[in-house]
Amino acid sequence: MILALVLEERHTEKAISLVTRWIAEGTKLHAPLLAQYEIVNALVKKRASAELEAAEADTALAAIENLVVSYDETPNMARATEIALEMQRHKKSNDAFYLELAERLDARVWTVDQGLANNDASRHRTTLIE
Amino acid sequence: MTAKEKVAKDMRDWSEEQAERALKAAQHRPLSQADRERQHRVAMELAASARAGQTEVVDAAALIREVRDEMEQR
Repeated sequence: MILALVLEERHTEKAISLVTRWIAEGTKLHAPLLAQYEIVNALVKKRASAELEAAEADTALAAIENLVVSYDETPNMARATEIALEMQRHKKSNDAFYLELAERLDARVWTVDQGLANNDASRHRTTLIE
Repeated sequence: MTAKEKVAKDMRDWSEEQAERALKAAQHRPLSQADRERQHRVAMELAASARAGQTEVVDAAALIREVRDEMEQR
């Protein structure tokens, strides 16, 4: 979802609207530290393929640094492992860290990833941004 | 050695950037609602500026899946 704020994406308007509403309401936003690595990897890929200029990537990173998001540095790895196995996503456990954090904070996961939302709907409070 | 002494000892080898980041982290305090809204406005202005030059519409979820796949193949 964070990526949809800084890249032209079909969910961009909706993501801006949601985040702006949450900030106005005083809702706290959280993400695993892993999100930062995934965002940087995505921007590196866009830069490497020349689909993103250096200045645009720098501005995107500055925007992300200013987002009022708390990045969690203390995942419960054992629980994340369980969640990954429950989701049968043991080869790609990244999603499990987002879900573990949400579970620990008793929070809702908002995602633009339909696969995650479909796979997880019955287990966690996951909402697909459409 | 106290924590303060350890920080003072270790920081001699830090770069200015490392020191700035450590200071920022150490001084981190919950933002007031007004500061949250102000910082959010800055973030959205920067995000709009980053998007302004982009002509291609991306699929963020697919992009993340691609980079995860690439990391896995390394």
